[in-house]
Amino acid sequence: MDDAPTRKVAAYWQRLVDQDLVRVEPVDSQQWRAHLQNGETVGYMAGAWAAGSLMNSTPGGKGKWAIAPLPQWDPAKPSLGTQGGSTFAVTKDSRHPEEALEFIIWMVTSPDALRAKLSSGISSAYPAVPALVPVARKEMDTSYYSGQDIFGLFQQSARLISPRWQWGPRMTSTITSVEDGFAKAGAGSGSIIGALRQGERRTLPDLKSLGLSVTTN
Amino acid sequence: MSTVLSEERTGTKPPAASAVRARRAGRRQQLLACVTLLAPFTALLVAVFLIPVGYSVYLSLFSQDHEGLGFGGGTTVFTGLRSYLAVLDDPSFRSGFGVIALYCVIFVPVVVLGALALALLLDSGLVRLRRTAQMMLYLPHAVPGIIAAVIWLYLYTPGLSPVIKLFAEADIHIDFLGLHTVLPAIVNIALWSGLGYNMVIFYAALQALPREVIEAARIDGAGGLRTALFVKVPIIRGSVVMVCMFALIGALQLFTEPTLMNQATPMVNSRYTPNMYIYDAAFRRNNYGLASAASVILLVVTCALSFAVTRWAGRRERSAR
Amino acid sequence: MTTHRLTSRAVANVVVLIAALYTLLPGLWLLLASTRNSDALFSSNILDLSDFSLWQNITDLFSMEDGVYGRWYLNSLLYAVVGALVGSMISVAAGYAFDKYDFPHKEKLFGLVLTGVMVPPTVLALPLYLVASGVGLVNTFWAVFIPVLFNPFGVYLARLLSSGYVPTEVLEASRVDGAGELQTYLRVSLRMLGPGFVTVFLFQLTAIWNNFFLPMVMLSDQHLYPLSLGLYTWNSSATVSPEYYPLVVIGSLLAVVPLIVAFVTLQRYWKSGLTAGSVK
Repeated sequence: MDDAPTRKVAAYWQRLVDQDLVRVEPVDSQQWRAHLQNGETVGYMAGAWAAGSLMNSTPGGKGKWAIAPLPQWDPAKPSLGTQGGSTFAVTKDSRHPEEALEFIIWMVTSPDALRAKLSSGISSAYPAVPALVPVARKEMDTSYYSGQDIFGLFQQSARLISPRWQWGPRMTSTITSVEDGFAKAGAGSGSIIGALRQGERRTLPDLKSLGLSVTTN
Repeated sequence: MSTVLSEERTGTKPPAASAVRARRAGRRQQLLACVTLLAPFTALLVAVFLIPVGYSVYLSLFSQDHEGLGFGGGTTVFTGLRSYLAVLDDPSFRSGFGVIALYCVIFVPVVVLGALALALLLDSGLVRLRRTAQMMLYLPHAVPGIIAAVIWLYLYTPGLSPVIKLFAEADIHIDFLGLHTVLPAIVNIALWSGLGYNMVIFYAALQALPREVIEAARIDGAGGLRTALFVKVPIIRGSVVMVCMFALIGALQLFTEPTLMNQATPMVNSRYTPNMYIYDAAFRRNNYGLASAASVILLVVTCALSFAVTRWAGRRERSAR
Repeated sequence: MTTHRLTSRAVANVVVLIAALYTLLPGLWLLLASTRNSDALFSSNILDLSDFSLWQNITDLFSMEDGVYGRWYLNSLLYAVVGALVGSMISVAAGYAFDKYDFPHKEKLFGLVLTGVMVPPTVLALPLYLVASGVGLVNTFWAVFIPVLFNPFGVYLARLLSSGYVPTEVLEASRVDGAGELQTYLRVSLRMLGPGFVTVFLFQLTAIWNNFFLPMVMLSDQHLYPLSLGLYTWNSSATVSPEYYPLVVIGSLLAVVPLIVAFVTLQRYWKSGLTAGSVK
């Protein structure tokens, strides 16, 4: 987890942390929200869903926020990752699996469902079905963002997502370990690249105990 | 304690055969009563203690084998010590013990010395309103652990805490939930809960001391402090050791306070203590082999520690005589 | 000499006073904070008594989520009070048996009991969960109730107290009178053990009330939660929904007050138990 491109990104952010240009704090924590509400946060990186989340947590920020695409290392070859998202599953001991699946399909593919979600004013879910994006563009009330066409921007960005990256098994556990390291790095103990290496070290015992053969290089 | 037959007490000898019959009937009745009285507890012992421990050991020897990239279900196979090796190899498990060790170093001396000091003070007769003081100091024990932790957490939370507000007005800014302060913060919660309880134990032991010894010391010219330190404390050494041991064992089991802190601050991660590691392995990572192996290791460490402390105390006791 | 004694007194009293204040501080804050409403909790001076919302907070507490707090309270009473009652009956019976009777391998069995004392409940919780899920008892009332009945320390304590409170002569007399063993136990010994029973009961009550790990592991249905777990859950939601903060505060206060009252009124039983257990 510390190959050359990772090290490059980690070093970049480490510089920003060291120069005190970025604040490291847990998303949706009290400090996080307090900083937002007091206007002490200039910006943050997040997935498309965060637009709705911000509308919900900081109503006083209406008209003061806009959404911008992520800067690129190489503008000629843009590429993006993802953060967050939702999936739906039906468990093995569900008593009505067919009905559940039917509902899920409706919820994910129906324009009515999307309309209902977006009209709540706290959701900006980017639909998984490409055909629904125009519906979202039309339905979303973006007065909070001064009328910006946020779904148009989301659509452009979605096209840039790199398909070559894949989550590993037990990824949530890895992410938790990495985030712990990030928190400590933000407090001045350890570094960002150290956090990533620690996340790798803490994932290995899990994988090995599950009989997976692991190579590290 | 065996029963005494009535014939031995009265001194007369009833006819042999009926005496034997009576004795047998009596003994059988006793055995039956004994079994009845012991049965519920023994049933619990087996069901709630022996079977789970045995099952835990069994589970720790098995694990799921996954193939390929590790997605999809696995097949359960006998893996022997693989889970144990994985646990011992896991830096987050080892660091849990590191945290506990640091916690013990801070907590155990403070709580033992604090409780001892308070007990000695109360025993010395210098304190007014002794009974009231004792009761007040003891009350935190009545507060369930998680609630005590929540109250202190709120006292540590900026915005909620009057303490932090007070300090802020004096221009002192302490972050109780920061990287280096969070462990002392956890120790404080345990200290608040445990001080009174241990004090009562010491006080009871002190009250049971033979007064002649203390009188003798006073006649020899020892002042209050001298008497306390060099006469009283050595005699209640047994209680001190016992309190230390239970404090250590309790420290190994630390779960409630850090779990609450884990929600409040990123400085306490989800595997901060061995127990949290076990919970995390079982319920977040769904790796029961790993969790069981870790449980067994923790159990062994706990028993070894209590055994070692008892042995050490016993040896000191013998050499002191 | 007198000044020395005076300073000693002063120092002793000051130290104890500081300790007492330290002990009372969180309780005092809890009391005052319970009278604040949601906004005032975060901003205003805690000592400002102008806005007294205690009754409002209590009403909110019991009406939140269809009165689930009341449900939690009931659960705690069931697990802790009923559990401690049944559990101490079992422990006292066993302790008495160890004290008054002889049988093969008695001390070995008692050694096993002592091992049970050494093993903390947290280490047992996960294996218990796995056993319970194998038997299909997970997420039920019994999943928590049955394990908390097990109290090896209670057995150890009961054995000590039995030898102290119930002299063997009484048993002899009863046998001579022709009473059966169990009759003797129920009619004579238990009565003599009275205070000891209360002690064992109190110890177990505290242990169950404090037990957090086991319910957390066993239960996922909120309606089965004891108070401690319920308040913990509300506290978890509080960062996202701050209206839970005052509820956790008042909820904690109401949870703690009866315990403190019980402890104050029954404290002498506690002391006797601690004395018996420590002065071996």
